[in-house]
Amino acid sequence: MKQRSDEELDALLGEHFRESLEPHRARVVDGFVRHLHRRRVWRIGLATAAAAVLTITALVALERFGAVQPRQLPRSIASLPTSPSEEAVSPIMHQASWSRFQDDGMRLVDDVPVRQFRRQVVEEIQWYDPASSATVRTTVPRQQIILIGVRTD
Amino acid sequence: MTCADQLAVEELVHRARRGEASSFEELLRRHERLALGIAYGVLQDSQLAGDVVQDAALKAWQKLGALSQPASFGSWFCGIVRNLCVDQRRRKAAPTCDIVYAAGRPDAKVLDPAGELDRTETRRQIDRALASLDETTRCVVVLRYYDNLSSREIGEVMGLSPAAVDMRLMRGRAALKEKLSLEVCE
Repeated sequence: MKQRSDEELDALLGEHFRESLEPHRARVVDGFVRHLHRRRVWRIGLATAAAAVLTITALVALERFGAVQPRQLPRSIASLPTSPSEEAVSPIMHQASWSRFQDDGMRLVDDVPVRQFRRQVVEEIQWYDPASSATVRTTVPRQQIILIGVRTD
Repeated sequence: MTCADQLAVEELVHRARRGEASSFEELLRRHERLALGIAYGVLQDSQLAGDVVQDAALKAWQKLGALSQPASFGSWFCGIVRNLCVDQRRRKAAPTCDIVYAAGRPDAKVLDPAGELDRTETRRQIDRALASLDETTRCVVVLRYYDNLSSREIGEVMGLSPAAVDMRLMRGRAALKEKLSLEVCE
């Protein structure tokens, strides 16, 4: 049996390790670069999502807690006209809304049999006072009851 | 490693700690053969060795702040590689083999099928011979023949004195020579 010489062995081992391991050298740095790229993409995605969430939160908060510009303080109620001034023109709107008659049936009024009918009405009147440039509207609900005598003979 | 190289390694580590990925890439390029040699010596599988060194690179990047002596990056990195190799062995993964071995027969595209068979058989013989060595001796042999490191450099990485490295190298070569002896009809 002939043994390999030292030179032969050195060459054999060197070639063996180079063939086995050299193809894997590039993987080390490539793997690291790919990892960094993945992290960068992930961070950009996370930052974008966070910015979107913050924007939405800010918009919702602005909407809920009101606009930025201050409102003008309303004039005190006492200063508002409750009725038209003497110089006011005639009402600019007069409107009445009637409901249908409701039959409440027979009843006795001072021992006299009567039939009672009832209806509601909402009356709206609007005035304009040119002196104060104020518009006044009154809304008056009313109920009208009509009693009709019943012949008993 | 000369003094100039040592300084460069320290500077690269400091820059990498500041977030310079390109400096860390340079560190990897300088130490990838060393790391692959260690991993191959432990695992005896080049594919697995590549996988482990990739993982070790990411771990080293994440834990670079823990390195107390930047000039010892190589030894520190190899320590990470060795630990991951031990973990890999514990997992008892399914054995892998080179695709050339798995082919079982010469590729029709290979110009010299007989020569390819010969080389395949030689590779198997070498792998069997290496497997018969203990892990430390195997690593020493791989680092010498693959990365051409000196006994002092191998000793720094393996935690051995240069004399102990020389002893292991001598015994390893003798054992390999015996196992790889060929019968020649004269």
